[in-house]
This record gives sequence, C-alpha cells and structure tokens, in this order.
Amino acid sequence: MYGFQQSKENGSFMSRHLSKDLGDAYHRVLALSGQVEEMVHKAIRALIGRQSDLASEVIGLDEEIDRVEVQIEEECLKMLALHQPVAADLRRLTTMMKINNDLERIADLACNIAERANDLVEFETYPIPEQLSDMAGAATRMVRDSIDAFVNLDIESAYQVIARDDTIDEMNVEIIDQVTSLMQQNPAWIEPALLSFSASRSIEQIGDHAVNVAEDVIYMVNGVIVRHRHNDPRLRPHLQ
Amino acid sequence: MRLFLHLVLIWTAASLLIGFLGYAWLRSAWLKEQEAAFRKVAVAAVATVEARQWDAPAEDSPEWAELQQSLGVGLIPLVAADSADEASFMEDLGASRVLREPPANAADSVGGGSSEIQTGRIRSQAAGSSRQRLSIELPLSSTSVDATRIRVTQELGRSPVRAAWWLQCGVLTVTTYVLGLVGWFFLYRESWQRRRLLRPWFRALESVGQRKRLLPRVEPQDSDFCLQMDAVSRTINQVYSDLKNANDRSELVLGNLREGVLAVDDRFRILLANKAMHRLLDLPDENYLLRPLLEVIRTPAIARLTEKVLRERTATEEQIEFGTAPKHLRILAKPLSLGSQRTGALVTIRDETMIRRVDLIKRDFVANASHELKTPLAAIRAYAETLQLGALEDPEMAESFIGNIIAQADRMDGLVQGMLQLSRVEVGSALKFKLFDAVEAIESCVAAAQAVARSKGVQINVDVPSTKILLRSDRDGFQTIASNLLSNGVRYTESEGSVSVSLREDASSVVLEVVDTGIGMRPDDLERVFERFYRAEKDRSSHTGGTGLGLSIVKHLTQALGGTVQATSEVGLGSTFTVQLPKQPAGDSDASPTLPQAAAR
Repeated sequence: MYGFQQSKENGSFMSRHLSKDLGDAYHRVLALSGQVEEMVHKAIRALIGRQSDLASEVIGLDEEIDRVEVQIEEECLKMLALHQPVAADLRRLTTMMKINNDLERIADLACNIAERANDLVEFETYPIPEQLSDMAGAATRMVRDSIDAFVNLDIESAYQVIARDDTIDEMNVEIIDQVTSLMQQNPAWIEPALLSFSASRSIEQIGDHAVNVAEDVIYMVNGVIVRHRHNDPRLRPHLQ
Repeated sequence: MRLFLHLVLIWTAASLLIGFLGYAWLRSAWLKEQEAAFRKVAVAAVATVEARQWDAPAEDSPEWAELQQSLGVGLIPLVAADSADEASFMEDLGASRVLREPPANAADSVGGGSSEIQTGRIRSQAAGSSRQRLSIELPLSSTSVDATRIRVTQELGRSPVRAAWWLQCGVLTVTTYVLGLVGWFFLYRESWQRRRLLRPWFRALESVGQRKRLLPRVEPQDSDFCLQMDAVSRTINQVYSDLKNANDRSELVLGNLREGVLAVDDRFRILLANKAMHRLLDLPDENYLLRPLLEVIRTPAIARLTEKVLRERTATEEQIEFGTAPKHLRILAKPLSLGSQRTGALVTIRDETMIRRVDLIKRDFVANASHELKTPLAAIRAYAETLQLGALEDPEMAESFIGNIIAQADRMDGLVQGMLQLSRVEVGSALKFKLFDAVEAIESCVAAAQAVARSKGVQINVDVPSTKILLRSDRDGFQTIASNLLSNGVRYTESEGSVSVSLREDASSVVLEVVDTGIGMRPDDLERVFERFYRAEKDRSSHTGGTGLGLSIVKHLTQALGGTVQATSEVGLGSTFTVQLPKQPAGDSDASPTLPQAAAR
C-alpha cells in the first residue's frame, strides 16, 4: 500500500515476498509509533489540563495498541519461520520486533500517566508541576527522533537520542525535588504529589524506551550491540 | 552506407580471387607453349650437332659457342659413364616444379628420329626471381661428339601474364582505398554534421546559470558559429531563469503561507510539504520529496485522512490537538488530480490555536461584561425595592440606601466609561499627538493616586528626572496609562507596602515603570492579565474594587501610541509593569506593535 524501499538483494521469488512483508510490517510499526506518540501527548494534556475524559480516552486506546502490537509480532514471527531471512533482513526484522515491543511499553506508560491524571483531577488546588509537560515533550521528541533514526538508518542521530536521556533524567530529578518540597509545604498534597511523582517516573521510562529503540537502530545498521556499553568511545562525543 | 562498404570488400575479394585464378590458368598455358617451342629448338640443336664432326672436346671449340649463341640455348655433352655428373644434375633439379611428359603428338610434329628424342622429359626449374630455366637431355645417335647424350637448356624471359597480374593488384588496391575513403566520408559526414550542429548547445548548456557571454577560443566573435552559440545560450539562460523565477516565486509563496500544505501522490509519497507544514508538525527543515508519507509524518490523523481521501476520493476535514502544549490544528484533505487518471491528496493544515483563544476571550468578555453590569444593577434594584417597601419613611436608612444606589450607579458608570474608552482606543480615533512634558504629566497622576494610597497605608515612591522629558504623544492617553498602572499597583498592595513609579528616557523612547510590592501573580495569570475582565483572583470578589478593564485599556492605549507593555511578577513579592513609548509617533501604521501577551512571556 505504501511505497517501500526495495531491499538491495536480487529479487528472487521468495526474497521479493519477504521484502513486501517486511515493508508492510515496517509501515505498521511506523503507524504504531505515530499513535503511541499521540497517546503520550494526550495523556500529558489530560494530566496538565485535569481532563478526565481525555485520560479515559487514552486508557481506552491502549487496547487497540496492544492488538496492533500482537499483530505485528505475529507477522514478524511468520516471516522468520517462512522466509528464514539472513544478514541485513534478519537484523531488520528483529529490530522491528524490538521496536514494536518498546512502543507497546511506551503506550502502557502513557496509560499509567493517564490513570494518574484521572486520579489527580480531584485535587484541584494542587499545582501540578508544569515541567512535566516539557519533560514529556522532550521524551516524545526522543521517541520520534529514534524512529526517524530507524527510518533514515541514521546512527548519528541514534547516538544523540541516547545522549539526550541524561537531560530527561535531570528533569526528573528536578520534578522530584519540586514535588518533595510541595509535600513538605502541605500534608494534604502528599497523595497528589505521589501521583505526579509516579507520572514523572513514567515519562522518564518513556525516555528509556526511546534509548532502547535508538540502540536497536545502531544494532540494525552496524550489527554492534551498544546496550550496557556507555563507555564506548563512539558514544563520548555525544555525551557533552 | 555500411552495405556499401561491405559491397566494396566483397568486390575486392572476389576480383582478387578471379584475378588469381585467371593468372594461374594463363600462366600454365603460356608455359606449355614455351615448352613446345623449346622442344622443337632442342631437337633442331641435336640434329645440328649430329650433322657436324667435332673435335674433342667439342664444347671448347668456337663453333660450339657459335652454335649455342645462334640457337639461344645451352648445350652440354654428357658421357654415359658420367654418373656423378648425372647425380648432381638430378640433385639440381630437386627443387624443380614442372616435370612434364611430352605431348602425345610431339613425334608427328618433329617427324623422325628415335622415340626418346620425342619423349624426353622437360624439366622446369626456377632461375632467379620470376625466371624459369627449361632443360632436356636427349641421346646422341651419331658419334660426331665424344658423348652419348646432350643436355639442352634455355632460360625463359619474364612472363607477360605476371605483369598483368601485378597491374591488376595495384589497380584493385587503389580502387579499394578510394572507395573506402568515399564510403567513410559519406558515413561520417552525417554524424559530423550532427555534432557540429549540437556543439553550440553543449557549450551553451555549460553556461547555464552563469550569465556570461560564451567566447569560443578559435573562431572570431562575429562568426556565424559564435552568433548562433550566443543565441542558443541566451535562449537557454532565459528559459532557465524563467523557470527558476517561477519556482522561486511559488516556493516563496508556499513558504510564507501560514497554512501548512502537503501534497501526497497515489502511492503515499510526499510531493510537496511547505515550511509551515514543517513548523506546524515540528519536522526538521528538509526536502521530503518522494519520501513515503509515514516515514516523515506519523501523526495518525494525517495518515488516516490521507488514506481516506485516496480511498474514497472525497474531501474530509478534522480538527485535532497536537503536542503536549496543544496546538489546535484543522486538517483539510481533498483529492488532488495528478493527471493520467492518478489521484493524490492535498492536505492543508491551519493553526487555529489563536482563533480558539480569541474565541474564548470573546465569550469570556460577554459573560464578564454582563455579570459586571448585572451585579450593581441587582443591588440598585434591591435598594430601590426596599425603599419602596417603606424604607423611605426612615430618613436615616433612606439616606444610606440612596448613597449606596449612587455608589453602585457610579460603579456602573465607571464600567461603561471604561468599556467606551476601550472601544475608542481600539478604534484609535480619540488620540491627539502633541508635544508635552512626561514628568509633569506623571506628577499630576501621582497626586491623584496619593489620596487612595494614603488611606490604604501604601507609600508611593516617585523617581523622575528633574529635567523635562518631552515627547510627542497623546497626553491624556499617557496619563490614563500611568494612573491605571498606579491605581492597579495601589489596589493589589497591602498596607505598609509601596508602589514605585519611575520615568527614564533613552534616544528614541520613554520608559515608565511601576513596581509594587503587592500580592503578585502566577505565570499563567500573567499571560492573561491584559485581557478584559480578567482577574488573577478567581473568586471575583470585588473587595479590591476596580472594573477589570484597567490593564486592558493600558495595553490597547500603549499599542495605539506605538509602544509596548511588559509585565513580570512573582507570587507574594509583587509585580512590575514596564511601558515603553516612542518619543515620536511612528510615520506609518505598518509597524505592528508587539503583542503584549507574547512580550509578557
């Protein structure tokens, strides 16, 4: 349905099929990433704007995302069994499966945020930290950039996404500080503060999943697993 | 042309072959003739030798040499025992080509003699280049010479056939060369002419976009070739720059549109995405030509609408919120005919965030204005009813009630005045630009505000230069701005607090700053503080008084006077309002004043 870059292998019958199937799965993953990103945005809007209807909408969306995730995974497994791809195709396929998984986890986290938003609605006087919005913006940006890196096979920007995780972590620490001081100010705010703390943690985890996606992209392009290897000399220039 | 060349080759080969065969046939016929003649001469020579008596050795006698000369042959007497001589002769003849049996009729033609004379074998041997030596050994029947046999030899001259052969070869070679040259000329003339025809175009193409005259190195500048080349170059450059300009214009227009424009073909590839699209959807500024849509834009609504348009070929519309600080985007997708029965989709995106906000403000204004007007009206009605019900009898009560009614009427009057002023300022009619002293104008405002301030226990600090600050502006407007900010500051400052007014000037503008130590505002209140009827305190209690129009009037007046207003604030510490006004009114009205909301951020 969508145009898809043909793989460079010569087009024997099986590899043409594989290439078409890979293309379909690829576009489904991309569409899923768009939906997940929108879900996170909605969850954050629900949280900051205290909109419980929006929060319920996000929670309702999760089912659809789960369904799509399972579908994509089944397709990928089918491709593995049927075509037994090797080399670049195999890496591409496994990377798509991993990204698919990460996206589903991000959607779950968006649901968590939406649930916290639902709970926070009743605490009208509690000032929800507005940095949460910025932090969520940065985290979804990371998700989007990592998917862009996947699309463009751009290792450089994948490394940048990995490096940006530190900013998210810093923002998380700031918000935790702020929430702690709010708790100290008013004991009645302890419960909403804990809720916003949890939301902040969820956003931070979204950033972590974006890093996973970026690492998968690096694996797909280079064939090198960079997970748990943050002292890699190639990472250093991006860690200023 | 190629056929011609082939014909030439075939002709050459055929004539060479025919020539060679003809040569071989002619030569063998000539040789036969020569041999027959030689045989006659040899028989005659033998007869002559036999007819005479020779001294031995005969070959040394002068007659022998004479005989040889007269017959044109060599004569060598041979003794039968001379076997060694015979062997060497046979060896000599080893390389001989022609060993010919005598012709059957040779005996008749010679007439008489022994049969061996008639049947002796003629040997033919090559003697030097292109010469032939014929020899024959014949028996001697008489004993006039001291020998049993005699060998007769004769050298043949050059064959005329051979000369003809060489001549034919020469002629053939020359004709082949000539024909080849002619063929080559015809073959290449066409492509050469074509190349010559295209040369100016190639040269002109090199010059595209460089806008300089082409100067060929060889030919004079006024030659036909040069002029043609210039004409070609001019045309190409013209077409090129026309296209480029047209492209630039549409890029410029599309790039400066506020609406995002996206064109997608029937295979979901991006044909066009303008700058506004990049901005609205937060995409990096790149060229996305022919990239698959989903690789670039993954916003579900856009993918969904595009798919729907491509499937159903009908226009659709949707409104979405995008991002965490939501942008309200209206997405319009409609079919786009791409020619040759292909249909793409044209998606336009309009940012309606501002419109929604303005809409909200308008709704708020109507609600607020009716509420603000209704409250004093309700109070007046209540007082009047009470009076009607008998309070009029009680002079003391009546007095206070009537006082209240007047106060409420004043409040309404203030509201209406404020709204009128606001609408006048918005229309921009009532402004009179005159030269006045800002210091003196401020001081009179401060004097007016002092009364309220003193009653609240708020101190007003004034920091103005001792010299005059002259500016050409609307004096009443300036004073309204100053007194509105002052009364606002005093209103939201508790007793023991202070409000500071300062005035300073720089090269082109005057800056009025009002700083209070009041209750302050939160950042999101700060954004909306210049809206009509907007109050930071939510309960809308009017215990602080005021109409909620003051800051709105300040904003609109400042804008009308060509200046800017900014507000900074911190909850619990106070607020600062800074107004900057130009000393001279701007010549035109095109310099759009900065939006205060934006400035306040």
